Amino acid sequence: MTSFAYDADAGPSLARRVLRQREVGVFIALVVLVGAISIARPHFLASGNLFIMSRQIALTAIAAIGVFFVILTAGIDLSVGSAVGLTGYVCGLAFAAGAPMPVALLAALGCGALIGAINGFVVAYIGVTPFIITLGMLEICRSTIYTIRHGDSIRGIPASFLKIFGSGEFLGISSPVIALILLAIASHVVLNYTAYGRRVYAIGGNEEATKLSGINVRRVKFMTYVLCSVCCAIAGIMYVGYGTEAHADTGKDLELDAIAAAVIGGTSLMGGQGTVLGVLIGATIMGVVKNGLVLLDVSSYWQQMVIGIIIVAAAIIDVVQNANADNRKAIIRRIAGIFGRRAGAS
Amino acid sequence: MWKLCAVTMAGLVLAAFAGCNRTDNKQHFVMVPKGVNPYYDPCYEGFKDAGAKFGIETEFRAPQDFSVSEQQEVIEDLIQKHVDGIAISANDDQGLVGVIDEATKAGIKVITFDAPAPSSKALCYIGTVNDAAGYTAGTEMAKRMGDKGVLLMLQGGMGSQNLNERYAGFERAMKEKAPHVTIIAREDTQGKIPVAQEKTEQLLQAHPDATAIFGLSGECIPGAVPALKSANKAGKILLGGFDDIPDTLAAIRDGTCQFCLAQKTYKMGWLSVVELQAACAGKELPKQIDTGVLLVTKDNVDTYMAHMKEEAQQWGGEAATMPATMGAGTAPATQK
Repeated sequence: MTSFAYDADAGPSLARRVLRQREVGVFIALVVLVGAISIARPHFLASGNLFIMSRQIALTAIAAIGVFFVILTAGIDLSVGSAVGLTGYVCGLAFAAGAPMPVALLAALGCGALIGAINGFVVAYIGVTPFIITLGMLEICRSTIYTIRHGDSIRGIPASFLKIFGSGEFLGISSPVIALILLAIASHVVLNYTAYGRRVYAIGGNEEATKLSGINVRRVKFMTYVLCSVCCAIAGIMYVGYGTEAHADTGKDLELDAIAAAVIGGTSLMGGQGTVLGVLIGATIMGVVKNGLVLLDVSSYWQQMVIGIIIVAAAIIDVVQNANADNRKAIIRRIAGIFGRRAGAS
Repeated sequence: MWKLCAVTMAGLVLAAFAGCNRTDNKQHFVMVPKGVNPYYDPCYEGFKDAGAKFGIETEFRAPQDFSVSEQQEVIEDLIQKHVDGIAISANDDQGLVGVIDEATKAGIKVITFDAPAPSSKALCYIGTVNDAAGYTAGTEMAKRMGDKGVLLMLQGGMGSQNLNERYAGFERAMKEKAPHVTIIAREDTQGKIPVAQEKTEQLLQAHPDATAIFGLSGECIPGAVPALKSANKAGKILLGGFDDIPDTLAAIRDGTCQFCLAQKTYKMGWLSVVELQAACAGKELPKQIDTGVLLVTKDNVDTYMAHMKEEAQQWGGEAATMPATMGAGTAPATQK
């Protein structure tokens, strides 16, 4: 039920603890989904398809892990997609100006850190609602990209960069997937085995209590926004490799996919609950569905709807699964009440 | 209170900027595209060049996103500034009826270019007639495919009226001229290059027997190119589509893309000025001017733009050479 790392040592047997994890439900859903699609279209499991699908999942999941840090503190970052776009564009601009690869990478990461620092400062130290400042940042970053070159792409990215971040692979695994694996392990360790990680969970659980226990809540929150935008910069760099150019519309609406991946994977938007593994499963479900819908020749008119239904279903299941027995009864009573009243009125 | 102050200040600053723009009693025409996209650069170039030639002040005001509401805001702002003419590439037909009405009432001449708003009071549409353009594209694709093979389609936004019209024309030409070609998919790229890339990759997995790809909107070819390259299918699969944005021209030069259909964007911009000027002079405008499309291949990729400009620059100035003088003007011009 809970994802606090430190109470995992408590009581029940391993098997029970595994079954009580929130990720189990979504993981079973993922397995069923993969099974169903591969029966209908065996090509789904072909290595070529797995390669492109995993790469697409990784590009979303890297950003999703970033926003996951922020959501754990009960915050939100809507500027994720624009930050991915702008950091990638900055990387491209650095190359266009003749900068060597390390400089271009640092420029992108630095740009990400700056975006996150502004978001984090305004949220944590001025006290503006995260929704508003990051919404503003979404517009600012995107409009910066458009202002620079009227929305044109940056071509002529050096082959040395594309060799690593574009066509690069290791044992048949694309570079975005490798980056994702490293990032996921690092995030898991930070969140579960460091004081900082525990504070992030604690703030989402109860911000007042955390403050009273003498923790510098502002600094912890500030850092989550910086980490988020730095993850975006990693995704931004990967997108330049993927597209072989820096596009002005890269990352548009990506924040919605990233937040959806976290929520589908069992992260609570109220903060304090969720795991990196859950985010990975959530992003994979979204990627599998998107890929499956094309393989199954589902009309484009329907695809968005299927994804919407999955997000809504995941959110409802999450609420019901998290409710204790009494609350669950209360939910059923409420629903019954609404329909009862309707029937009475007619 | 602070908020009110801030908003008022922002308003004043904007008003000051607006004031600066009105230098003398030159006519002031503004081009409002759907959003920010390099596609509109030659449109504005034509608009600006014509403005310079005929002594008209021109301005380019782009909504940041391709959204109706932002476009409405831009136009409302222009009504407050009392410009003389507005040329709009409409994001939506119904959504702009109100604000175009308002502009017309304020005595501003409004026309549409590139994307029409037939339900509104816009005086004229200057641009590609999409059904006809789609038919031209279909004819070219049919010729190149030789009545065999499997064709994949990409489209940016399934609710876009002009793209659906383009598709209708395209499909009609394919049915007539290459009835044995199978069109098996029509995926939504949402108007974004990375999504077009993702969808192309998935389509190539789903349909390994595909022999051709056609993109109905500008982002499709730029997205399809890296997908074809990473699948080692560049040049092996026929790739064609709409719009001559820089990415697409680069792909034509390197042989990954075989052809694109350039809309006559420069001409749209040039004619917008000519027609707005005619409207301000009280002339009646034709409802629609089809600017047509131009086939761009490796052979003419470096020269087609110069030809397009030359052709456009013949229009305007003398009343007799204007395509606008279809009938004698009856309504008096509302000159300011």
